[in-house]
Amino acid sequence: MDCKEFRELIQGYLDGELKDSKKQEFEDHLLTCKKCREKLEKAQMVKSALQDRLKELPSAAFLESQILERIRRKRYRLYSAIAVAAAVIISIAIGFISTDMRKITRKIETPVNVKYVKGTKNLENKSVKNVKRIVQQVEKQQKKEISPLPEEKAKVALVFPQDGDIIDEMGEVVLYVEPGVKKFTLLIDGEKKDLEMKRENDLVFIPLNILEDGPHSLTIESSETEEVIFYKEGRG
Amino acid sequence: MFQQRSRRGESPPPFEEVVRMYSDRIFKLAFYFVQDYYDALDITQDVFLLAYKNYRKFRFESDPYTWLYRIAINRINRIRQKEARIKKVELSDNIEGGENPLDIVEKEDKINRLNKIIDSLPDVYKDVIFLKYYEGLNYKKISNLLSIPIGTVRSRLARARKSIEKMMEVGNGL
Repeated sequence: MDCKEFRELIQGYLDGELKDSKKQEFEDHLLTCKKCREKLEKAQMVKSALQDRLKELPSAAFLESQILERIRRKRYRLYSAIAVAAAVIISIAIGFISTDMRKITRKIETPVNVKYVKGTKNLENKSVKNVKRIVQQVEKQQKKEISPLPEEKAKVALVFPQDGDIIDEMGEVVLYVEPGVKKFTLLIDGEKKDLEMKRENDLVFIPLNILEDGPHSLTIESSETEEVIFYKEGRG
Repeated sequence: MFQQRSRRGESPPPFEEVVRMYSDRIFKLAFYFVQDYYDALDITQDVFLLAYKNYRKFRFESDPYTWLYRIAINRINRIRQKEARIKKVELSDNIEGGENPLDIVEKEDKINRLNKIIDSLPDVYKDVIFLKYYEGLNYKKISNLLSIPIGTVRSRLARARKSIEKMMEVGNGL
């Protein structure tokens, strides 16, 4: 082995990645060449300095509990929305019973599994026709496994934002893209954005670059994910 | 451990177990890149929140760390891009312009010198340094994780090491 080859192999030797035969040749050369020995010593010094510094990376106090707490808060927000939606629907249902609208009441007898209901915010002022439509949505929603990630059919599923989520100035769409998907289209506030997958990946992050506060809509074309309404930070 | 469970056909472990096993490693990764405790904490929380939302989709055929690492690197890059934009604005106000990394090294005391040197390296070098010298992964695993050839892993490590050697020479050693 000459000095040139030796120097090319220093990194592999340092990292324990040389085959036994090469390692032997490397070590034989080491015994005979002072300059190469010095090169290796320098490289070893850098390696151990790096390892020492990296060992000093700090840990965060109560990290696990902070993460789990944030997840719980997120769940709580969802469940609060469920509770509000269910309460509104039940109170409307009671209203309908009193006005003898049993047909609609039957449809909302079991709103237990409702995870969210679009447009429930202003239900009180809706016409009977609109309430009926919303109730049908609830029913439709109940029939499905309610999830932002449809299991079987979805090739591209939306992970974030979900209905009612608030994004900040760095807000981005997070998608789960199944292997094999090459192209798909996002509709952000009705504007088409064609995307091409450069390599297979399970999660894809796409910056939204939305500046205006307030509600925005997002749909994925040819996907099971329904339109979601999210908000840019600053709402209310 | 997770992959073995998957092979045995068992259901995935509770998400809390994933948090317990990987949160410290992801925090350290984030801190290594952003060098700020609270930013690293935010990134770590974001990573696990996203992972939680997507947990049912994860099939445990690969190492969960690979999955979490990729989410984390995406978050880190977003933060760093934002910071870079801010720095650019700051620099345009300063006629002196930026400093040469070697000049920065000269000014720092010995304890912080290597941290500063690592920080001044391009991200592609920092990636491999972390995975090799903190995580202790072999070239094959790093190659899978970063989707780059094994030869590229080696050459990036070698170039990173040589750059560090050069900068340390300027600073008269460690």
